[in-house]
Amino acid sequence: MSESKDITGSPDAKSKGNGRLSAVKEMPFFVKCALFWLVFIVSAAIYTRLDRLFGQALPLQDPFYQGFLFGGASPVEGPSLDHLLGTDILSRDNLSRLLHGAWVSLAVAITVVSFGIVFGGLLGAFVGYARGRWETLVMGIMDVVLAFPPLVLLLALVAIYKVRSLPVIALVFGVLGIPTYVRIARANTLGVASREFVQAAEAIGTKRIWILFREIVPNILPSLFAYALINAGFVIVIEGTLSYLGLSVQIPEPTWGNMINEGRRDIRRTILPIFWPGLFLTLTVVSLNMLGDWFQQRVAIRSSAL
Amino acid sequence: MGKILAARLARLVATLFAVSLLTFLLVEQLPGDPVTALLPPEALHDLETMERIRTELRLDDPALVRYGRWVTDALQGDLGKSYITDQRVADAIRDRIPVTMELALLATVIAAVLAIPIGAFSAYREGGRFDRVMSGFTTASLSIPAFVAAIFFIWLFTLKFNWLPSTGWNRITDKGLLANLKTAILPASALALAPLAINARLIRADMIGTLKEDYILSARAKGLRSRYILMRHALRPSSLTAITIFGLQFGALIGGTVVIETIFALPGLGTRLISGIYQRDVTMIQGITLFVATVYVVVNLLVDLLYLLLDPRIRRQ
Amino acid sequence: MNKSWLKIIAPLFTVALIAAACGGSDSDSGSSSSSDAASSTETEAEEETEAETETTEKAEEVIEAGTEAEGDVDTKVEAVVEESSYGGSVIIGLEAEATGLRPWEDACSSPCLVMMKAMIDTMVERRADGTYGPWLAKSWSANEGYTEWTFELQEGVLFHNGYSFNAKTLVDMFELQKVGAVAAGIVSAAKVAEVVAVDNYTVKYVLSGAHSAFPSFLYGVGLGGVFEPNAANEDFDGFSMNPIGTGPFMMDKRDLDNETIVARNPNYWMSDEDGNQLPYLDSVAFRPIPDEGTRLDSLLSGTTTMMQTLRQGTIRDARAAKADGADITLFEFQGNNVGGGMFNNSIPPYDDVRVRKGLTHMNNQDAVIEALGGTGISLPGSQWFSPDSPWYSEKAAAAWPKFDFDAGKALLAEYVNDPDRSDGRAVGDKIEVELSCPPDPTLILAIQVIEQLWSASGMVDVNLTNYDQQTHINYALGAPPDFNGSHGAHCWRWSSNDDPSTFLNTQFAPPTLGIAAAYGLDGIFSPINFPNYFDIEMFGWLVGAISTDVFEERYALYEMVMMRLARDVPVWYSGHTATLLAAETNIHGVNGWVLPDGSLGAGFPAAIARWGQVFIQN
Repeated sequence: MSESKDITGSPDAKSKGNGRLSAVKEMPFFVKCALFWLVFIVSAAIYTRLDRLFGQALPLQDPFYQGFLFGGASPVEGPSLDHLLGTDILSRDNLSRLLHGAWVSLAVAITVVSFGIVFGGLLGAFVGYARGRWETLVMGIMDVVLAFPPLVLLLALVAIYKVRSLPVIALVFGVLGIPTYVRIARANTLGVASREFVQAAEAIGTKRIWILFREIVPNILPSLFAYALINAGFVIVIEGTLSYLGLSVQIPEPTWGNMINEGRRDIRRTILPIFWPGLFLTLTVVSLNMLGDWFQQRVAIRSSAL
Repeated sequence: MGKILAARLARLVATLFAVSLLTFLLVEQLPGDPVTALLPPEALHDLETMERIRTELRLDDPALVRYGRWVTDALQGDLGKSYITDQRVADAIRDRIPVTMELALLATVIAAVLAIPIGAFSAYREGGRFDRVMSGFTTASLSIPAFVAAIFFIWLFTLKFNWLPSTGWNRITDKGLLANLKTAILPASALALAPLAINARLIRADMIGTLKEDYILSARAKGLRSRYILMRHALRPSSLTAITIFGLQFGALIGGTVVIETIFALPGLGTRLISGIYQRDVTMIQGITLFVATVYVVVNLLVDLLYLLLDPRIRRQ
Repeated sequence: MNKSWLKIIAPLFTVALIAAACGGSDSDSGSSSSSDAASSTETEAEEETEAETETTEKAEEVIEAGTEAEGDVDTKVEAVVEESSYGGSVIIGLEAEATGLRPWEDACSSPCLVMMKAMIDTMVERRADGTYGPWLAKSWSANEGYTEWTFELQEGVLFHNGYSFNAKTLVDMFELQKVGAVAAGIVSAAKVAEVVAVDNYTVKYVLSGAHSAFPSFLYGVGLGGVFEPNAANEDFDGFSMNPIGTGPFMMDKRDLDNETIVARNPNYWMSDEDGNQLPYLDSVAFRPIPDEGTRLDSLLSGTTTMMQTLRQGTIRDARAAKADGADITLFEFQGNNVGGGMFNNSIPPYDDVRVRKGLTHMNNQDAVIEALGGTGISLPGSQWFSPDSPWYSEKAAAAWPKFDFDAGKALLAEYVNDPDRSDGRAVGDKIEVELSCPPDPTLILAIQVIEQLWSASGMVDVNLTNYDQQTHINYALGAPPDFNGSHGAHCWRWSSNDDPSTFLNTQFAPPTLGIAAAYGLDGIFSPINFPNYFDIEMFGWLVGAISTDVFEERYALYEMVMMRLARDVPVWYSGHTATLLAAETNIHGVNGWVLPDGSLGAGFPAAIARWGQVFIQN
């Protein structure tokens, strides 16, 4: 819920990937499961996009097809071979809607994370290294945005400006997500900048911009990635909340949040239409958190090993 | 100490100024005539009313002048009037803030009270079964979205077991503490899940560090009982971190109650914000946003100051 | 910009606006319907002990009949109210909080009216047979041309603040009503020019044009709700929190969004048939519980003792709960109010009747109702009146373009393949339709069904939009001077149980000044003609219907109007709004309350209870 402000550990190892596969092998069992789930969700989201691209030619039910109108299913069916996770209130296939819904969550999360790492990371590294007046100004602006509880500013923005399309929503999320990355990047940069190799580079007269990109940025990236994983989970929850309130992307586009909203009406009869999207949301966030924790620990261990 | 205080206060003022400007611009940047954004549709055809409001709000003044006036009014506790319900925004906030405050407070307390034993015992038996089970639990409770938990709680405790009401609010002043807790416990628990997890983890990490300190080791060597060590020695220094974290969480929860209040239909600030959003009550949205951000900033500052006050290392400086 | 006409038309606005758009069957209307329109399963509940199967059978019967339970309606107040029946409280869960409680100023929807009716009496009330009877007005008469209406008032009526109610009250009230955000529109629709105190207890409403159904306007709280004008003038905004009326209850505590409590008015002017002072209850507590499921649940778990709903899905759940043995009485009602939508007839492609009719043919009403959980609860609509209404026309029902997918497709194909199609697209291109609805939980389901149906034709691209209520209405309304609206197709609600003139006459007046001028109707123009549909012949019938008070003549005219709407399809209907008041079985008097002349009242239209004669008997 609250973005802990303490995630400013300053690992400063150069992350030389010592083989992706070996990294996966080192993972504890549960972290492997988490990775597996994330891979599944990401592939599902991509698969559903491809499915739409090919006019629903791929083997997956149409997430908009209402069986009770044209035959094939009735509302709120239990799981069956035709509908592995049953149908929703409008007799649409739950599984298909869940997979299609993954796209919105991921699109928003990926936008925030890439905005954060690219813009936030660069800006933070820049002001952290350059210091001076720029630093004061930029950090001041970031403090103002961070002065709003995360959900409240988003709610006000989305509501007042009547934002309904995915690209714009992702953009709003992305921009509002930057400040925390700036903070983390800056804090890490301060640590890295005082290290011997940076001072050595400065001593031999390497251009400062060169140092920024060659020495500092690669060294703050691991901690940014670790935060990004956890932040992605947080963003998915916030998007789900907005969706639940009917303030995210336009229906009929399924999202996990609006599926929960639609399922609420029949909660007295069955919890299933709420349970599935709730489960998908929770599992995805759990996975991101576990992976994030694991990654952070690794980063910390490596930096302490230096 | 005095210097730090002055610096913090100066920064607070600057931040609040910027926050108010941003909140003002939020509405100022709306496309079209601001009057049309403020008024309900039935008033839009009544040019007289529109003119009256335009004069009343002196909308023809330059934006900077209006901002100045808005801030001056806000400082005097006047956040304007909703043109949808004719209610003063400040009154609406005053009526609703007790509920939101209580929820946030109760959630903070639940999160703190449960987290301390979980964190402490996990640390004491680091890597043991309890520690591992709790680590799974904290990961789950950190990850489950509050609104999903809230709906699940309603399903379980109201629809299935019929233990607690899923809606409504008994005010302490009217119905007493017990009746109040009956309506507050479900929403507060849903809110407490994430902070509980964070607290438990932080306390655990902090304690593991503390337990390795020399004076604890020597206490153990002296053969003191483990619970005694935990309570007397280890928890003490850790409480500093905890206070900071609890404070920060309380601030964040003021904003976090929005959805939970809506789901449980509680007469709090969040419900008012959401109904303002559904009614497009721009003055209300603006006022509540400003208020919540201000509380958030001030609480965070107080926590900082408290930290300074309590931490002996800093105090000595 | 010409401001003078705006001044004229501005007030017109709210009438239909409030009735049509603001969710729920909002209008302050009551029931026009005969006594069997209102249903009560109360009597059944008492007999229930014998065999539980009977209840279920009854329930099935109800569903088969597709309308309300045909429970017997009490023809008089139940039994004799003993002294011991005095006292007790009702706690009712409402679907929303009232934005305000000033009858002349605040748009008041069903939950708001449930509260307001406890404190504010109206001039006239509606009887079970659909006619209007005395309340604060004892009797009335009109001059020959229906331009002057004289009302005799009840004497000895006191307001909650001790002031007495008389003719001057109404004159003072009118000063506020003329400019009231809500009342001004009604004043204008009813053509009230002046209110004159003839003597202390006689008041005359002078109209600027004939209106043969004028008393029906004094039934709604907007114009007919009697409030204390001095209190209103003293504290205009504060009146909203503490309304002063002559009603059976007085404001006790208003805790916004949480609980509003009203307490017995010891000086209430009415007594029951046996001369017992009314009201019976000590107090009523109103709790807004927006979530449908939790509202029903609060009743079943005893947190509240009564609830209202305007959602068919909740009615279904309440019926199921009762069938499972819940100890509740269900007061179901189905009125004229009908959900559906409208096309913006002023812009392509909706300016072509083939598109409007084709799309309407493809709207599977039964499916929409099923999606809302209202199968067997809500009736599909074919006109502005439900089958219970005296205005209902079989002819219009037969003429309405019912669900016929192929017929709809054929009409759309004709348009799509027309080289002169009005949207200027190439032959064979899809029609683009924008369907806009407020983000109401049930509408969200309904529009997804309609979107599927329209898209399934293969000839329509549907874009859905959901904006908040205010924006939704603004888009429908459009901007001065033409008020054409930027919308394509819109979710909307039509009709109420009021006299048809109160809504039809304003909603189908010329939509722009230009059109008015073209037909020589200078200045008569209505921005709340949201569909921007105008038919001069139909407008003539509408005017004719308020120039006579002979029912048969008026019926014939309104039937012709309905036939024209079925031919041109400027608006479409899905299902009628079913409403429910559910109460613990010891709560009585929701049904069977009477007017001062002893005639049976209209029950609980649109889930709005009259509190004065409600009592608790164990």
